[in-house]
Amino acid sequence: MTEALFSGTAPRLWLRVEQDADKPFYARVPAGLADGYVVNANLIEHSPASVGAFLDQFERPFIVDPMSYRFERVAWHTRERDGEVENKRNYRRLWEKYANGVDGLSGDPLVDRGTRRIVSEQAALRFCANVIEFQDRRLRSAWIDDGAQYVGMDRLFGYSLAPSAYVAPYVVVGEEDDPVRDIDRLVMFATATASLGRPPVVAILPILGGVLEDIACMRRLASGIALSGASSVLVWPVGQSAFALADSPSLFTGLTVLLRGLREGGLETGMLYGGFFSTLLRGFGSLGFSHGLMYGESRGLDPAAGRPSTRFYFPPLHESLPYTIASQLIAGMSGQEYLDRVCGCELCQALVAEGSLAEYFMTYVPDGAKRPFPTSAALDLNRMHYLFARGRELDFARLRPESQLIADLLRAVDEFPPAATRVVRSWAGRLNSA
Amino acid sequence: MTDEITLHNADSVDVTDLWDDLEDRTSEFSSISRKDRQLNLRVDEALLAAIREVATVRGEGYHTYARRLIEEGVARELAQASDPRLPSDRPFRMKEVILVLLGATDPDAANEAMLVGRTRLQKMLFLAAQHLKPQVAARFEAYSYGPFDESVESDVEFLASEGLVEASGYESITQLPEDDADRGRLVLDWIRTRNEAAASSQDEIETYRLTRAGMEWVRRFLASEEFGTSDAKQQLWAECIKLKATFGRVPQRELVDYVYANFPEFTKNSKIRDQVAARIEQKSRS
Repeated sequence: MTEALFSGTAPRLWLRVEQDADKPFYARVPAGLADGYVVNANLIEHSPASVGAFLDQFERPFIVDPMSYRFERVAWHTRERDGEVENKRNYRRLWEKYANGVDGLSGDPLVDRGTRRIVSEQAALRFCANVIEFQDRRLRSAWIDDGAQYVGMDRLFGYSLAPSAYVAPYVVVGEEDDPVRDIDRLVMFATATASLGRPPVVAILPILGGVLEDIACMRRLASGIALSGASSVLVWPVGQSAFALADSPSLFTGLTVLLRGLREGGLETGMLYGGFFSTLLRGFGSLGFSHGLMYGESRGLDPAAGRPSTRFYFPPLHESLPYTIASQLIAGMSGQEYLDRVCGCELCQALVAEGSLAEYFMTYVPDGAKRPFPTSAALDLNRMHYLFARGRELDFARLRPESQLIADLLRAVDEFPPAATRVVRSWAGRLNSA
Repeated sequence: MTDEITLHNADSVDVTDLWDDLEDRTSEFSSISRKDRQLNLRVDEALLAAIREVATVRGEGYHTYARRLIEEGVARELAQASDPRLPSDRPFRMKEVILVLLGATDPDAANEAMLVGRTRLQKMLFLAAQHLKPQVAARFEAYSYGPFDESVESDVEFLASEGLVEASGYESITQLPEDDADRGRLVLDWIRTRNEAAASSQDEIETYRLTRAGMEWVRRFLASEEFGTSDAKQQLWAECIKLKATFGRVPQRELVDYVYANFPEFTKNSKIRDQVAARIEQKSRS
């Protein structure tokens, strides 16, 4: 197995950089928290120089998610203005680069389901070459060409700003009611990308719930990707919550069949969007996961909208709980008791030292709103707490077998009964019986 | 490492052999990046003499000076390669305009080498781009609060990360404390500072100023023959001086009103268009 993403003891973590606002928080976590960054292609299109400066400053590995699935849906790349629908500029520019010279796409406006219009191997090859060229050049060209007159030569040429692996473009399996065709297209993209001769190649596999239950499809997908030339795979059970995966025997079985098939095919495998529960899949071949700031276990296709929620990451249960519940759970605890039973992360230590834990749960009700929202300070505190707590739970998980992690989970459910969700029990039960 | 170093005293006598007698103080230089490739050049005597002379005047070693010349030349060539138009045809890039705007100081006009407010920075860059059109490569569009160029923030962040601009809100951390408690305290202080500052004022509090390296960059930019003709640079400089004298210190509202009154096509998507229009109307009546 080629180690492109997940070297060292599993589970490993890659942090996803989705927006410029993520960077100040990632800049303040210890280097050991994550092995690298997954950077959204649209962010790199938007601000290559500042993303390049950020990556250069910390010199951590990165890969670029081409986000090609977003060209399958109108919602992501358009916005309405003055009653007219227009394409968002970053996606338009991204599409122009991806589609350049591709038969059937060249000169077309950015269209719904654009990626699916690639039918020939020749077109796929050109498309993949464009996508890889973007990953390889966009940051470096902004850094060197545009930044040359500002950056010292040591910095300019001292770090190549090349991704540690190239991610093949991808479509969502099951989005068009013909999963076999989608699987073949995914395999074609991975194969075309691998044939470009710039290894290692990462294949992203987004799978809708119904298809995940189809064991034959999962076997076809695993064997196809294993022969594609890709060396690493990131699996994405689209929109499936931790609870849904654990609670449904057929979903869980489909996922584990896929993971095992990929592992047996010699592929390095992880979860594209994951959390603590994903770490428990290492027995099935998942070596790690990636996710963005403050996200839970799952990720759907459609954009999340609205104001940030009042949730606090509660490490014993590995879940984000509403402020009201989290604050009730810790009410009456001494500072030391909180550090021992709930969280002893860097930020919690600092807040406990001055008796200010309540700052995590500060809210306000904006004009016209009916419910409270976190203050911006509380939101920042919760973001950093999420990162620090995640680092600690991963360190903890690396040192212990799954059986102990499951036992800890069950103990936590008993210890904090008001928050004992079915998720925890379902996972414990599923893993115990698997 | 294969550095070959020749040392000369004031009389140009080669004293390289004395090197071995020097005390080993390499640890003092461990923070300086290593140059581990070597470039040998044969040059004529007159050029070498000139390099030494200029380096002496500048107070630099002549190797350091020669290397800097090469570095700057290569940087210019790379920048030119990405935009092969003649200097006179090439518009100023937004990063250049930001640096010149921040650096435009005129003691007579009491300008400061600082700007306060994200909106102020956006609107002043917009005015510079409009007044110097088409000499500035800008991408201003009609956004929710008037003209806005999304590349400005990214450019500021980049310039801050390169040490040319000091911008509140873009502080970067290069080294975290080893100890957990110290790290937590550092993060807590950072969060409180950025939120308390924002809460303490109704107005924007972001500040932007040039660093010493930024000032040096502006000086070299204006003096060099690259990246625009001297006429164009003079125009840019004069425009920035004027903008700062006019809008650098007035209440931000006045700048916003001026932009809305003079460039209505950039306010069509504004959420505050009616509010600003009413204000302008009231001002004109009074």
